[in-house]
Amino acid sequence: MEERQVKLTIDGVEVTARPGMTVLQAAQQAGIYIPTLCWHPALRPWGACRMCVVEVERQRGYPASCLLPVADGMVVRTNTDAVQEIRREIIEVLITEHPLGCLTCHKEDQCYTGEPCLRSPHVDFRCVTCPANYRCELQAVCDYVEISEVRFPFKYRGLPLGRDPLIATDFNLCIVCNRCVRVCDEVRGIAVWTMENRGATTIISTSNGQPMVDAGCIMCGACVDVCPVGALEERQNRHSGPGEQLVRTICNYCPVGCQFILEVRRGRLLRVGPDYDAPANRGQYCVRGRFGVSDFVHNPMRLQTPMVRKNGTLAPATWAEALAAAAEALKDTPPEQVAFFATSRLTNEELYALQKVAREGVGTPNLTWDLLDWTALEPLHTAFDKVGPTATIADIEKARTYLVVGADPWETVPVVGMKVVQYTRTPAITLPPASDYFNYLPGRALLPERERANLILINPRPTHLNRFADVWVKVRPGTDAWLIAGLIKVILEDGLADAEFINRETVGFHDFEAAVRNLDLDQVSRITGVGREELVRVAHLFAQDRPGLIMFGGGIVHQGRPAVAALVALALVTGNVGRPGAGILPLYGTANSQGALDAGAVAGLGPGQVHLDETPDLDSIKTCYIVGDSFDLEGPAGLQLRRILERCEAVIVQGAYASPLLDFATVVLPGVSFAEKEGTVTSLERRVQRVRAAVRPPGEARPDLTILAEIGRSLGVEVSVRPAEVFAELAEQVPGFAGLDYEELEFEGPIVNTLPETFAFPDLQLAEPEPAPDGLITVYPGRSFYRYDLTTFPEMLKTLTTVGRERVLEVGPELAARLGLADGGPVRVIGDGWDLVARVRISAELAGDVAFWDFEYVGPPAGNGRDRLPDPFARNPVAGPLKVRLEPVGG
Amino acid sequence: MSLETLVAEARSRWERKINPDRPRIIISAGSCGIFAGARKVKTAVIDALKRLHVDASVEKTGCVGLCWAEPMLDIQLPGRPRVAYGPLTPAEAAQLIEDVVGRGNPRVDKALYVYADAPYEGIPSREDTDWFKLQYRITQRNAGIIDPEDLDDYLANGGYEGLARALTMTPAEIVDAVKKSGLRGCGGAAFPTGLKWEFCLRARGTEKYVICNADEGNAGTWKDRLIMEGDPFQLIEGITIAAYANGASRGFIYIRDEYPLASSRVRTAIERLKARGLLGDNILGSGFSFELIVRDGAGSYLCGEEMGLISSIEGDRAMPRSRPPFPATNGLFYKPTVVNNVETLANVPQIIARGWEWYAGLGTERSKGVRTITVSGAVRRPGGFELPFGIPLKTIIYDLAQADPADLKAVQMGGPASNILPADFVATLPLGLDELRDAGTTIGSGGLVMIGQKTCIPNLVLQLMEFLRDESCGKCFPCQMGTRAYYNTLYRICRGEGRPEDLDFMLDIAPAVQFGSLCGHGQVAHVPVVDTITHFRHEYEVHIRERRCPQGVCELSPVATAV
Repeated sequence: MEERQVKLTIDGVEVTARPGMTVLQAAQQAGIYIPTLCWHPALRPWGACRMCVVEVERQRGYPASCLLPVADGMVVRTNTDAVQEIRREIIEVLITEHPLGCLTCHKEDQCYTGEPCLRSPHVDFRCVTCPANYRCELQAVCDYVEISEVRFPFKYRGLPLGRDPLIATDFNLCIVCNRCVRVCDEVRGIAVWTMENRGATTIISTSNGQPMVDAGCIMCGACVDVCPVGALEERQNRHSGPGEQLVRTICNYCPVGCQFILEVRRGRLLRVGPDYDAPANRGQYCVRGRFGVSDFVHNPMRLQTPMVRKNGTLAPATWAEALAAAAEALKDTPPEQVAFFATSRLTNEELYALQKVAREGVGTPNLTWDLLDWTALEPLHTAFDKVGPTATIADIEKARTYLVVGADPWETVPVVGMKVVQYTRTPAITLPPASDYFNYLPGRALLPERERANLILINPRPTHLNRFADVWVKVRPGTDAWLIAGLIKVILEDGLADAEFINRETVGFHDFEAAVRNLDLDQVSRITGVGREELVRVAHLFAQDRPGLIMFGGGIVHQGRPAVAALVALALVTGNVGRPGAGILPLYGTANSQGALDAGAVAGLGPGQVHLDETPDLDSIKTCYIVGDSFDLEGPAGLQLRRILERCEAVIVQGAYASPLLDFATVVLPGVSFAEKEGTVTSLERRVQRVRAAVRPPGEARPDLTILAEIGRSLGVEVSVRPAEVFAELAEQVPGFAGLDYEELEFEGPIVNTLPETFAFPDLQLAEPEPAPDGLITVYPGRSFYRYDLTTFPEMLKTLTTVGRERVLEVGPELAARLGLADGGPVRVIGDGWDLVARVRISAELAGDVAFWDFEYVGPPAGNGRDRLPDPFARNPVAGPLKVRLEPVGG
Repeated sequence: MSLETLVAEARSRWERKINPDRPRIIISAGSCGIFAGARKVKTAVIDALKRLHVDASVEKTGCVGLCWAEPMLDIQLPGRPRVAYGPLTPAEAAQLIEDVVGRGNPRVDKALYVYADAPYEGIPSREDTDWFKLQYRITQRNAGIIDPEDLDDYLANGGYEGLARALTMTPAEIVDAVKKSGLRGCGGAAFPTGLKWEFCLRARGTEKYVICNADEGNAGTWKDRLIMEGDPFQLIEGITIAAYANGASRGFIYIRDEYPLASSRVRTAIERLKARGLLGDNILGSGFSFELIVRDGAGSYLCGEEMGLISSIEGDRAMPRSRPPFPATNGLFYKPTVVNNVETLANVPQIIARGWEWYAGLGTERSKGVRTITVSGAVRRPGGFELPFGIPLKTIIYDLAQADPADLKAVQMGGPASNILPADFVATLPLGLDELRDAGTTIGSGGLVMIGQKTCIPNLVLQLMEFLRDESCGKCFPCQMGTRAYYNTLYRICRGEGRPEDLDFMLDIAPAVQFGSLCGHGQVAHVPVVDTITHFRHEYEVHIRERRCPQGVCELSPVATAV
């Protein structure tokens, strides 16, 4: 069906546009420049700056083109004298209070990009005091409208500068375009910024001028990205001028697959710029991606030279020596005593090369990645022939009901969390009875593009998303499988299952139904602590308001197969597979978890997720090859790896940072960070995207693929050093990748989700949860977006650690009373061989012998180096909650 | 209860009220009267009655529009007509009561008029006085006569005839009648009301709203207050008819926060109407339900702007949205919405009750109907007059308000951001919407401010601009920054620090402010500046070149005087 086209003339050029577009969009599409200040591609038009006014034939006045819908036969002129005069006069009165040194300096002709001089303008409006000099949209507009003279005395507002971390605010530069207010509210759903005062003194502020973090800011930097002037700027590198080189690449922090643009100047990463065309994230980031990159790449802890341990100490060596030592160690050890540990932050190519070296070069089945026990996800493989998503991030826009289980997308995959908020916050606008009206604030009456979606949260503790949820199911920790099975039983009993879908597209339903039939809902209630009515309500909501999208995270994975199997079955029973807006979206812990599975860098799963008959055995390891840095050795989970390493004769560490692993390393091969290498990564929606090198590796460090190729060569395995060739090899083996060309992944990486013709129901094997041993408390970790989960050396991310919330241990009132813990007081958490102190928060929502904490690092490491803890989902080798004892401190 | 029964009961009560068996003292208790001292007058009256040992009923009424005569009171003795007296100090009022009630002396010296067809004891009949003989009171017809908190008074005086008739018509017929009547918006823009209703009626959507804009913020305009304080029932009847005609089941009346009395009277009226089944569910058994919600203004001038008002009701900062889409299709909560001024809606009941032909016969061919004009400033008798279109402005200024021709310098027409024209020019114009537009001006919201010879024009504009600057909502650049630039420039001029090029600068940025601004506030913010530079340029030039203020109003800076 061909869409109707609208033809109009802009500046004498015939332009074709879609109906519903604005004149501004049509002009931009045709490459005609119309100046704008308050308009922004990510936001609804606001119509305040009036820079985009145009003249339209047979129309009175000068309408703002950002709000003017196109119409057939419209004749628009964008730069007549009258229009330019209006723009010029507005700018002229605008810059009476906007520092204008950069426009009026008589040395402007001799000025070149970003070279500050201290000579001419008065300090109030000097160009070098503005961080946006040469990156300023107002400058560009001034150039366009040809401001030649300023007839009006300049007044400096003298507003105090902001003192917030990460974001530097200087509202003396603000032009009140309201972009920051709108992006924070419309897009991010937070509304930290607001307009304060009226008339000429209108200014942007947080509510009551409180610090940004107190106003609810999550430091996503969206306001910095949209600010057209220098009022909101990233604190770091803000006076470094614009980047000389822009590199589009993929964020390596979490698996959303956010594309961003790295600004590089003289070999240094200055900052991260937004890419509003990015397919997964549309120009939105979280604090890690937005502010944590430059620090991460240019870090004093980066490894710069290969090292080999001689006489007990690591000494610098040449690459040839180091590679030879590594190859020798691998060759000299019996294959079954060699283990490979990889982080799933590596690219697909590196992971593929690694498994090739391990399997073909060494011949060992001991291949381990972050998520050691991938078999928890096997029900996905059973049903869909692969472990992976059956939906995409774009499906969030189409789904009617979200079921979020064992996950906090707001903190772990913030851009996905943001999207959920966008579609669940828009209030369906209904007024309460008149008598209540005065107590009622309806919030922003956004033009509802569609009705808001339902949100069902299944989580033992409240998260940020709770305020948007229709139902919060407070499940007893570790019993999600029972709960989901109970939902399925209700759906089957009440005839809400999609029988047609089940008959047509699934196999194994009868066996599955038989297993569910025996389930006793009272038993489910008893085990999960969720009442029967609530069970019925949630089941009805999810089954009736379709399409439904299931998102699950580490909270489910650590519970093992049954929970994942139950979720897969729930999707199949309700027919929520293979339809727009429906499906399952696993929220992994690290950037390329999906890629690691596809590339087969896991024991038991070969490239293309082919089942292999491999059983890893880590008991008699003599040689370890570790690729990556996100390995912890201190906490309870890390202790197991530490024990393995202590037994090893050779430990080859290939990483980018000087991590505690170096204490055990016999060979150190300096790799690179994601900003220094080429390749592809696969996001949680299975979108394959290109990672690009933006800066040169420090010192002698080499791209990881190059190192792996060298190792492979010495072991007799052919691995190309060129990512394109490795990708081609990988693409032959992964079904979805067939036909993908590395070079063609240029801007918008494709989603390679292919679904089988029929879906098999997984086995549902429910086991009664074991009671916790006496006296031990189960602690469940959460995650904070201020932290890279690389807790091994959080010193790396100095920028991010400037914003911190304290480590808080949440306990229920009953437990706190029993242990004598006071709200806000300290508590010592004692685990198996480790202990630390946290602050107690008593949460009325919690009951039983469970506790939660946000897994994050606070302050410098304590003397014993133990003040760090692992994050089970992203971490090895033991996943899941911890059993600890709690003791009050000083009591 | 049917309307007939209600009206019959109300009529009998009203008859008893206006034919009393004991003295009636009716105190004019609008905000204007109260500020002028009506409360003290009331106390004095009660004390005087006590001293006289007379059993009398002391009642209240709204303002009749004679601001200069406040505080006023009416006295009716049994078997005599009702006589209005004013202005009165408390002592004078006490004396008056003693004379009139105690001694039967009609006190012709203090009397204004009598509510009778013929003069009484030498006191002229109300309709023969200068102030009333030219008026045609529709929205104000009950103001100053009835008790604004007594529904029976309103019902006995033709109340709810309009709604009763409207409920027998289809919405389309009502819209058609309003269209044909020629009623135009009284808030300033003078958009044909029927047309606006038609857009809303045709707009898709089951949920629609009616909003009454009672955020009367223009300096020199108080007509809406007169209606809300004098006769709130008529306004609510009008809103109810508008709701019925537009298919709205919920409406808002957004009352300026500075009008606490108006707000309280409207709230009281809503309670009274609900109690009698004239508002709320199933009005008069017709099946039509309408809920009216009073919303207190958020205190900014821009809350009175149509779109700003909508934002404010939605709970947001009052910042106008861009048009189109217009409120008729995307208004409150993006639902079709009719936003009308108080006076516009207060005209509707009579238009429906008496028929559009009657209303269309008033006024002139081009401007139909009547309009309340409030006159203030350099006049002897400020007040509010409801006048049919076509009357010369000269008559209003010199005859009704009794301005001194020798003292009058200029006239500002309808609001702080409106034309400031020389008095001689204004005297040549008739009252009329299109007629004034032809002359390049407008009646705006109907407030005429007379500017006397002692006023320094640049200083006046400076003060207007301070208001306009502070009340700009801060959204669009031209308004926010243009008013700031105007203020700063005028400030310098009035300080004696003006520069010759300042006047050209102000004229230069006028088109940007006018055509660039998002809403009416900015679009007209330049008008006082441009008008006064056009008509009173010499006053600016004296400030700039000679560094002195001819009227001696501006405080010139010492640096400037030294030149």
